[in-house]
Amino acid sequence: MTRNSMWTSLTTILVVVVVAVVALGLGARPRLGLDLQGGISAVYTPVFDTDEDLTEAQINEALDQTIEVIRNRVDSLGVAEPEISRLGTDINVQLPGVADADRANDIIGRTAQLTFWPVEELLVPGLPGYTDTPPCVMQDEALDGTTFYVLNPERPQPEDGVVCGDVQLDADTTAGATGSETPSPGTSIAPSDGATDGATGSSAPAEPASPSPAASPAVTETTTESAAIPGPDVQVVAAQETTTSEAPSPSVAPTDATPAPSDATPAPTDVPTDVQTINPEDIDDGLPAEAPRPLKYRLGPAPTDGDGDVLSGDDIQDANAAALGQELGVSLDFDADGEAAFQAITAQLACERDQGQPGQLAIVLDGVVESAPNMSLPSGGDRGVICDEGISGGASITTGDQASAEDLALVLRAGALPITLEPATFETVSPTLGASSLRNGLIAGLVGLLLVGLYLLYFYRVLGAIAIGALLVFGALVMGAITAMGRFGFALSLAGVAGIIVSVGITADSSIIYFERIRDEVAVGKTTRLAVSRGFDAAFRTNLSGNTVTLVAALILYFLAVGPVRGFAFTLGLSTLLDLVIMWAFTRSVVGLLAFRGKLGSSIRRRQAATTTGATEPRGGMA
Amino acid sequence: MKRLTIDIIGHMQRWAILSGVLIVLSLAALGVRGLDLSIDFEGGSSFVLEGISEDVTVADLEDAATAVGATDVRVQLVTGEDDSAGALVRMSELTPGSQADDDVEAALIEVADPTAIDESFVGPSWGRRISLKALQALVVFLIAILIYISIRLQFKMAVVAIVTLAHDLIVTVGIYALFGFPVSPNTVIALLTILGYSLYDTVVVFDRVQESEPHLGSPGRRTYLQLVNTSLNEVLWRSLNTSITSLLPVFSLLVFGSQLLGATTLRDLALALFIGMALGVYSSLFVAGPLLAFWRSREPGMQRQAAEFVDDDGVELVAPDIAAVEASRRPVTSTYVRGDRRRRGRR
Repeated sequence: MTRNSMWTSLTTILVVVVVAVVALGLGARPRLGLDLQGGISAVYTPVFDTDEDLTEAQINEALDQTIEVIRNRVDSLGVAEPEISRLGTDINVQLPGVADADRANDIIGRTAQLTFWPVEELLVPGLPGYTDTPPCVMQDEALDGTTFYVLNPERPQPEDGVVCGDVQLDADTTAGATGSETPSPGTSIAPSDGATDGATGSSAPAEPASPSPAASPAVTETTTESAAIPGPDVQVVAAQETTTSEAPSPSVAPTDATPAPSDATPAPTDVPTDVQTINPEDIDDGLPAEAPRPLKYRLGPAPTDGDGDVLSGDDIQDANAAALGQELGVSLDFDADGEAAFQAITAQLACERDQGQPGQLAIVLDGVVESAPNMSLPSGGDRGVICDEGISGGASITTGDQASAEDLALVLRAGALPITLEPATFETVSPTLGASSLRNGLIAGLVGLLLVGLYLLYFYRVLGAIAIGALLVFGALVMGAITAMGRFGFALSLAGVAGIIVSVGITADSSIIYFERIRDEVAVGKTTRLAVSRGFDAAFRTNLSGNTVTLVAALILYFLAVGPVRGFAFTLGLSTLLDLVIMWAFTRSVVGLLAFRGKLGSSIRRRQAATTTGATEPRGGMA
Repeated sequence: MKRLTIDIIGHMQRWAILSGVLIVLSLAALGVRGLDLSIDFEGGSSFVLEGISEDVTVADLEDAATAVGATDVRVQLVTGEDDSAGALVRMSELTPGSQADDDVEAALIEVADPTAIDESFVGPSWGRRISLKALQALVVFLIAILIYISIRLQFKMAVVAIVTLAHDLIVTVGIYALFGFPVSPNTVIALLTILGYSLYDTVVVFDRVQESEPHLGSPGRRTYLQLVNTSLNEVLWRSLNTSITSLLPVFSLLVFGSQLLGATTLRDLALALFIGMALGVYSSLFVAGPLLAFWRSREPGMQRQAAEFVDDDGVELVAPDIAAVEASRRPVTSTYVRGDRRRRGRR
């Protein structure tokens, strides 16, 4: 290796180190695992409820769907960065910052329950009837003291006759009411054979009542628009029906520029709307004014399938996102048991629609209405859903956009999952414990580094200083790499910290092997320069063998092990690789360049004289 | 400081007896006392109570948990950060979020008045599964290493390395059984890491033996036994220094990790690593080296070669006087350098 290439590799590695140090100095930090920041960490084992043997593909699909379902549920917990992932056939759930173990377990471990209900009445926030049942959300406090909203465990359940509409809760809801509900486009349901034909301009008839499940979107939009203006006055557009029971469907006119869709279409569901200002302060549900308030639905008796059970996800044969003419939606097929019940309920709903009632089918997942499509009206070549006839065979639900179609299909399929989740491990870590773990881990690392540094300095003097340099480079590179990995989802756990601390020894070892080699070579009469370059070749080979073993161990651990072992294996493997890079680019260059300048000869000679008798005097290096 | 010279190979029997006794003791301890497995292996629930009232006793907590239906309750009082008192309460499993679970938690809070409470639950089959995974990892690892060392060094070295590894593992587990240290999944991680360390040390030793083999017959390397002994002495300083620098951070981890309440990860890892690494140094020098020397020196070629160098008094091997070895190495080295150049030229 020439001096030039030594300078090049030394400069390169130092530039990387400077970049890492600057980034860390500017506040970049590794992503911390749960055991270091506090929260709930759990692993669930799915138990399949069927007697049939499932193929691997089926199991995989079921697991992926289950993860989606859990993700949806966790979102309703208001967790900032939940991590839900597969560990083989297990499901790993990491909820940073969540302290309430009971509710977390309740929400995750529950079996998905998808049921269908006829909607009798829509209950709009601020209008009579809404506060007769407990509120849908409740306020909760995060570990850092900020408040956010979560689903109220006491919220009304479909069996009570009232159920809450879908409500989007994320960690940002603290900012105000902006997250009160996703503005979902209206949905409607039709027999699947007809839906594909009458696409040409016929979507309008299907739409009129479509905004009905979207009472709160209006709230959302108004508040969003007036977000800058303090004051909780919210305009809610409510249908007269809710007060006068004259008009059937409470329709909402979005208060932005969007024209009320197809209000002119002659349909009984169409009602002139009455714009009314409701002050959320007046809603007497014990929640702050800015709390998200989804629509509530008053439900009729649940339809029963052929077995006499409630029509549920079990009766669904398949559900897929599909293009329905120009619309996007979900095609839905029931099995033999469910078909008749579905036809009966849709037939009944179509009649109710004709009589001016909502006529919506509430699709309820885990006690929340995921979607409540209308019975589509006949138009053009489309027969729609006809009173007393209903939908026989497959149905299709128009949803509007691709994402909502896929979500709904997922919900429908997931409702049919034959899976029960059993907790395999469940662990809560308080943030104080996490912080003290992190602190002690760091102290242990620094003290370890210091002790090793002192030892090396005492034993190898100048070379020891170089070894310390290598350790510092190691520290900077490891921290930098882990911080960078954080962006790709790697979270540093306590076991990972231990892996790094263990690697301090590995890094020190490569210097030691090298220095001992140099001493050996000098002892047999080589010049410093020759000893340095020969010594490196031999030492690097040895180090490569040793590190390969450690790396193999780390890789096997990483791919075969579960839980915290992986974090340990990851940092161990990473550190081992970095160790080779540092030895190659840093230690060799620094030792080599100093040897070229003749700086090391006297140091090594002195050590040599002290340790061996009769050692030859090597010539000092040349300038 | 003088370079150490130890006649390791010459006292082969001594090390064989020492290791044999260690292994027998370990197996006996394992058989008699068994291992104190954490809830992660048996399944169960545990609560960590931080900052509890000073006057709470083990019996108080045990009674409180038992009174509300917990079974097999084991309580451990710990001193946490800033000398605050804490407790670790283990019991047979309670499904998280269940009524029984809530009751126990409430009872413990009432008795101990902690500043924070952490719960962990492990299902009954989880431990078996992770143990199975660990075993699987171990087998794959051993096969991979056997192949790697066979290719990189020699097949016999690979076998000896794995025997050495088994020695380290058995003795580490034995120490755990003897002293009743709790075994958690973190201990298993650490054990697997010990595999890496133990092999690392062994590979470094064997690497040196392999490198010296072409010089078999030269001074200091008259016989294979002597060659191994010289190689061991050559890497002795490296081994000692490396073990010290490896043990220092782990020691620091042990000191700072063991003060931590609840977060037993650091302590569990550090303890097993500390024991295993210390053993790894011993075994690479005193188990792997002698074993290899013993095995290889039985080869007919080696025996013929050794016969040429038997001293007059019939003593086959003497501890090499390092000065003589060093002096004798000079001419050897010069041929080595030439050989080195030739090799370079071929590259």
